[in-house]
Amino acid sequence: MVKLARFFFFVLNVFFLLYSSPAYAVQEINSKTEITSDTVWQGDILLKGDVRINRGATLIILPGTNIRFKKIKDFGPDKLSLDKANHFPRAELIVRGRLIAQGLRDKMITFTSAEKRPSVSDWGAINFIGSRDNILEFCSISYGHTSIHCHSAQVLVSRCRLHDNGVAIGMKNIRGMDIKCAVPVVYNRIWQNGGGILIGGSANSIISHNQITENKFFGIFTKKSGPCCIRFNNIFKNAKGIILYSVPRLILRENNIFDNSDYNISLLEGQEQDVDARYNWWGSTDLKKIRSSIKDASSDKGLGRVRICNFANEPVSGAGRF
Amino acid sequence: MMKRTEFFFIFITIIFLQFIICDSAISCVGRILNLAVDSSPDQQTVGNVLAVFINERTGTTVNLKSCSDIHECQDMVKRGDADIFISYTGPASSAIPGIRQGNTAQETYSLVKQYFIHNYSMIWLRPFGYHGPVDQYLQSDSDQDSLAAAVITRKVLNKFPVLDRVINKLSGKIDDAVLKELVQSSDSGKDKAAIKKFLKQRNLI
Repeated sequence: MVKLARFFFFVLNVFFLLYSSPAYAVQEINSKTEITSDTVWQGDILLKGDVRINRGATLIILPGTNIRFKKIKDFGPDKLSLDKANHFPRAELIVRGRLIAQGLRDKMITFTSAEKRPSVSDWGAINFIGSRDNILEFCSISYGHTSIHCHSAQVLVSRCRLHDNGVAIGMKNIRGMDIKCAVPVVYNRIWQNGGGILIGGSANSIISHNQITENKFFGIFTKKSGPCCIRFNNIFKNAKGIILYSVPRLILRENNIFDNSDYNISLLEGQEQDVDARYNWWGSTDLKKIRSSIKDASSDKGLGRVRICNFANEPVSGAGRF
Repeated sequence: MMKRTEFFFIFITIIFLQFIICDSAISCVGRILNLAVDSSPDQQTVGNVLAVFINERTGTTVNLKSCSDIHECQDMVKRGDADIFISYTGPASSAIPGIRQGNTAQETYSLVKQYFIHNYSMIWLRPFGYHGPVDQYLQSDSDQDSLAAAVITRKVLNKFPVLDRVINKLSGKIDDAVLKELVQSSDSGKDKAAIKKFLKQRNLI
């Protein structure tokens, strides 16, 4: 009788495991698709159109997975959404549900172009819209338009490598959505994109311990953002290190911001508030030289002033460190 | 049974909410400003100066759209096919029936500016400093002054609230001599590095 009971529980367990475990997809080739239940991706995944993770569903991507996006026709038949306000012209991974993409240091997850000769904007974005509890860790992301794009979404971006994208990471809040944007960006390497990190529309972010270099237009651009904390980053060799537009509050300290070709910090027209930028290393201790790398009230009276007193006399230790 | 007024109120509320939601959902793709320019060297050069300057100081991408002459540029802006164009007080005033010429270039500018605000809801920003053609079709400089300035609609200014402030910073910075030099050094606006150098030297970017 006991044996029969044990056998019964064993069968029940097997049955439970079979029907509760997520579906595995290997070498999957997708056209436009909706993910409606919990799913796991591994191996090589080729996306030939939009894929949307619907509300209530979670997509787990295993370490070492290689996701490639085909360059599709702009807003063509392979797009799930033609809403140009929230979507990009080419293929996207749209996250309305939840995405957990956690690679390993030696087994990163790749999101890239499927083209033989890849170029910027071959694909749109990993597009988080009104979604929370998402993780991107140890991911390598390249050749997207705005590769990590968050509209009223919460995503942890950690230990990723982002290069050759239009903008590596963009975020903003959308009026009317319950979820408020919160995107911690920590321990990433962000290089050779058009722009590094774009924070807009009252979004909050913590940008910390990142290496942000060689981005064509800017390292970090905050415009009308909420309170952000930018600490312990290395920001160098971008055209402009940090651009600010209409940002009322900002914690910007203990960064190494130097050797950016146009300016280390540039206040745009409309940034009338002063900016507290004490305790950063500017690549020099020569005040005149530091000032010449900052566009603010000293050269344009209509702008706020960047306060740099108590600047670091040597590089801030512990910054960057990817 | 729902009363007619209640139904009307709910209907209006829904429409209003939809408007708010749609209006706020601007993509991170970024705003694009369309600038209409004709093929003349000064329009091409100053058009590219504006494009670089606006992009540098506001982060807005500027697209140059071609038109055959400034009247067509103006029509494009009227239709909403472009947002801004560069015009000259000479051809602008001669195209306005019954407008009297001012005694000075500045007076003509003021009269044209007033006419454009009242009749087209378009705003003439401060003159750049150089003189454009007196008659667009003759394309000739004469001894009369015809001031060049950017012209933009109120609607576009509402969309890009700091644009007038930014463009007005170029006021008086591009006189005839500077323009001539810029046309040459930038190969009629094609060489963006030369334009950036010009703006940087004058502390504009």
